[in-house]
Amino acid sequence: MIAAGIDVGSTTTKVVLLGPNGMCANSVQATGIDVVEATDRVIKRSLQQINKSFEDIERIVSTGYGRISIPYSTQTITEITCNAAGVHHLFPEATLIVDIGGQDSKAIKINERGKVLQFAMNDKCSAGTGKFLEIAADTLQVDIAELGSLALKSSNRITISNTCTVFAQSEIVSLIARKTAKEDIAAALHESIASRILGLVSSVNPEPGVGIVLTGGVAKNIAIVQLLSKMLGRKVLVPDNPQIVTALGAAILALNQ
Amino acid sequence: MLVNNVNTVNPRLESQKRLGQMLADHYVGARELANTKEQPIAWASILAPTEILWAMDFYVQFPESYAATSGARHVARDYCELTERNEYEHHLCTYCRNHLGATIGEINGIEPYEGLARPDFLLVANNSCVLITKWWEHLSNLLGIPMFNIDCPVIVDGMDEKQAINHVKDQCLDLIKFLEEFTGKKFDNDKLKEIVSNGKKSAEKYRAMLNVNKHDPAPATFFDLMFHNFPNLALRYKPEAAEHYRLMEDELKQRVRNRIVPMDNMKYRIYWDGIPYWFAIKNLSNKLQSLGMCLVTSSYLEVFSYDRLDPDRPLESVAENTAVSLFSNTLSRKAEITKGLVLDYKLEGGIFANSLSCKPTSVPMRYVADFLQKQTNIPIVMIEGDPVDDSFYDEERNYMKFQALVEMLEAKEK
Repeated sequence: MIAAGIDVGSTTTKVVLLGPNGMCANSVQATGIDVVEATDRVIKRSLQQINKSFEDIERIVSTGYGRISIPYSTQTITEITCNAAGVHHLFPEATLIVDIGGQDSKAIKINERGKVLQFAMNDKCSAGTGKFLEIAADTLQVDIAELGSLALKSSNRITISNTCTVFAQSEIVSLIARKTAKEDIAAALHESIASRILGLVSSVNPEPGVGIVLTGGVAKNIAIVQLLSKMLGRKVLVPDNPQIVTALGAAILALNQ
Repeated sequence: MLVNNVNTVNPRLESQKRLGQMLADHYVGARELANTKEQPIAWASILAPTEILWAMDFYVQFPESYAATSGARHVARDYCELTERNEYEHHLCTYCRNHLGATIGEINGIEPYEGLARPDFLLVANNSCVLITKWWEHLSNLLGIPMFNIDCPVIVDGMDEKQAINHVKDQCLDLIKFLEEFTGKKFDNDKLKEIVSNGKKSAEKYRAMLNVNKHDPAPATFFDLMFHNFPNLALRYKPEAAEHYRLMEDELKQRVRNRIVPMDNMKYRIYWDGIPYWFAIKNLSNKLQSLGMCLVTSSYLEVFSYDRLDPDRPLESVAENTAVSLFSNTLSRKAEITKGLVLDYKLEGGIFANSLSCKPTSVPMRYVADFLQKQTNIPIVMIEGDPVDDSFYDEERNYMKFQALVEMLEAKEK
């Protein structure tokens, strides 16, 4: 039996296929403006990896902001619960999750069975999310994949005073005009994100000393990982493929239906 | 009506019709008086010592209540935008922006803006927030009429509330003196006693009506009950308010006896914290019903309890009613009151509705939610929005949080 988890995010759509022996395929692609078309595309790409067809999928759980738009899902479950299920599968001892996606970030506290106890989200603001870094990379004319390594080269600490993504972009331009080093600007941006996450984490009353599992696309950013660990005083664990953890959780919940 | 195995679903309360008439009569009555000048009109904040105004024969209207009505009628955004066009800040309290906008529109004859009937006097108490005094000051300037502020200190832990009550009582005496000069009439203590007696009966009947919702299943939702704060707020000086609640209590008890419930799919009893999002009630109700969540009660209902009134000590009890409110107490007291509601009503989860423009209600939410989770172990979600400004409202994100709450409740059951 194959179970599918579909995480339809505002920026990317992720699919994980689970077979009898665990994860057998996964794919990530840009969502674009047509959620159903994007999902069809990503499922097809995943099925091609294991030479299966759509009819081989017995259960589908969809999650993410576009979850209710998928006509063929057998159940919709929120990304909060799916993310928790995915993290619990990968790190059974974990009780604290930080997920930083394209347009939102979350802190989730779970129990020893992977059930959600509390969660907090940033709301109506892209500061503290992948979008913030995306805009910053574009303004600095740096590849988003290199932004973290660039930040780690900083030797002169500065601060970005604006918490709004749009105003921060203007501030970056001003700093560049004043010949501020790109690596110092990059470091300040990362610090700005990390400090937003600090507030989210404290609002879910984490147990002292427990580590964090960091998921979402931004978890691939080495500077964020190091900064969070330093600022929170906690160990930060990152899955091999942090972007698909929520889709993995959805697939696990589909399998368990 | 849908019938499940046990209960009959009827979302409509008969008392709603009576309330609608009371509201209409109140607003129309004010408009008539503004023309006839038979009675002076005052605007008061919801927790002001309004009994004193009624005893001086003022007809009293409430701008905060008017804001809720504007939100429910979907006209608040227009009023708020008019305020901003007059250079008021966008992030001001939307109750304030709504009402200032309606007032500015009416003063300047801008169609179709229609505010409350033009007042002769303004009474405000700062027990709910500090901004309200500034709001009233602006009204006083716009309308060219006097304003009286009752200062209410926050009652901190360890403080004898008598200090706050005496402080408010002294100001009430000043208010009486001021109104005697303003109206040329002598204050009537007997009339105050009668008004306070009616108010006490209204408050008792309000409480009795609310208590019926402790029954499981609840005969009404919080959204059904919340509009019924109006008689206690605006009409408690008359016997009609107590009578309304008596009839409503009877109706709710009848629903309990006949197993009539307000919605299909009642799975979970849920607490609501914060001011309702007045413009989104129908959509919120539908969504909550689809998820099986019945909002049973809220600390919002406690704000309108006015339960300190005592005709044996009329002025002092009016001062006490003003000095000791939910807002004028510390966070720890609010948290304890909320916990009491969760336990008394046997609630299983909580929705805390943050208001972007109302800091006094929103800032305590994190503290109260944390306290509640630790003390009662119920799952809680925080949603974002505003009482009247729908531009602050993210429907999809809030719906996702409702669904997440249900998933947490289901996980608890397993």
